[in-house]
Amino acid sequence: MNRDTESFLASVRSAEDPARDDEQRVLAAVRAAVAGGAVLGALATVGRLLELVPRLGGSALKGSTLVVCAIAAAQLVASEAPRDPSSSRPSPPAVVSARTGALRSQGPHAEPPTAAPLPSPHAERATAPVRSSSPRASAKLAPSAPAPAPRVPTARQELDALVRAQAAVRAGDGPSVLRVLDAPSTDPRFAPERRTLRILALCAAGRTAEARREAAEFLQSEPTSIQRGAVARSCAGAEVEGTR
Amino acid sequence: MKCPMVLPFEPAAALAEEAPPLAFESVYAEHFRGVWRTLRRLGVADTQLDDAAQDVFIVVHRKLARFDGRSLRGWLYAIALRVASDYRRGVAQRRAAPLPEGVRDPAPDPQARSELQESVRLLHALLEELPSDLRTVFVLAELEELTVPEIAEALGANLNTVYSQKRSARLRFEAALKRERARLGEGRHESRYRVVPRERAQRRGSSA
Repeated sequence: MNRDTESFLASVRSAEDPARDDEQRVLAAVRAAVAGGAVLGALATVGRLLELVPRLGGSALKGSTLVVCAIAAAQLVASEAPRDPSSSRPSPPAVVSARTGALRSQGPHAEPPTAAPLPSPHAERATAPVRSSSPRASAKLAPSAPAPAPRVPTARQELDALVRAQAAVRAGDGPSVLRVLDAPSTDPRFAPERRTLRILALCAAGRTAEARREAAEFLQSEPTSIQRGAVARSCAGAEVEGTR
Repeated sequence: MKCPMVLPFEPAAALAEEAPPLAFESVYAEHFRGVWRTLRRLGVADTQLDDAAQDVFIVVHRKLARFDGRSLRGWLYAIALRVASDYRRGVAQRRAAPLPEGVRDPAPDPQARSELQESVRLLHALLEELPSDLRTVFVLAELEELTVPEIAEALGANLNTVYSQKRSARLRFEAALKRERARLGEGRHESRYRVVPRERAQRRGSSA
């Protein structure tokens, strides 16, 4: 390469560096997206599982226990009323944008944007690492919102609702989520997730003492739950034996 | 036997959650700037850089525990390239309006800053001229200075292809730059590549 080109490139190589606050802001957003991710990750994987079950060749899952449970889980969900088209794809992990604090779809970049968010107060009240909150953010999500949930939600719809609730908690909107979770649960299948989200929502709402009480009860009754990590990392974590 | 409803479908994914935070923090600290620059140079709009960068590092975090240690930069930039491509294709959602951004201050004095901004505009215009695959190789090779094996890893391409693309890209870029210089003459800043910034807001730098 000739010298002129070389010196031109040398002059611009670092010219587009991010500012320090860009670096911190994005890091905080990444951390928020992965914190308590055991709940969300687990929920998201069930969603993916539903897509993959027909193609399970046994090698996709390790361990017979997982295979048995995975198939049982998938059958349970699949055995319900036929999915409507708008819920035919798994909800991708919901992520809070580093810039606006609003709920957005993250990817992994092969899936369409996620379904409609919880009632609008959530988007306005985002407090996660932000610049300014965009009031129009909730309008920017997928054009195809799911049909309003029937009175008895399917497992798919319950799953979707829990995924959205998780995002709302991360956005700091504990009270909305608590209201949702206070409604009587329609079935016990997602009880561990609901309990965990309730704990996280209590933390987000600043109700630490209650969060800790519920966390202690939860971990006592579900000592091997994979939600353990999320609970341990929350404000209730100090009460959790040996996990901090 | 009690069968929990929700399972770690990929046990390794659950492990990645628990990966020592230090490893991720180091990767982030070392590579954030390069990823950011690269996303921008591969055409991600300024208003979407935050989201795109976030996406890259969320994937990094998730997969880091499974990284087999062969070529971190190759592995990392493979992720960045996919994200950049998706944002260019508009797969990720778009922002309604740009945030109120200030002007980032890459150079100490106004004259130097303005020249630098002009150079960056020129760079992007020249990059736009390259076919997409050559542009990618050029950005990685000449701006981020990845090795050819790393680039091959990032692209999932073979070495010879990358060597050839690198050569091609260089020649084209050089020729385009030479043409542009000739057109400009010395010391003048008018350019037929005066790209109107639209929402290319430039970033405000705090103490960088």
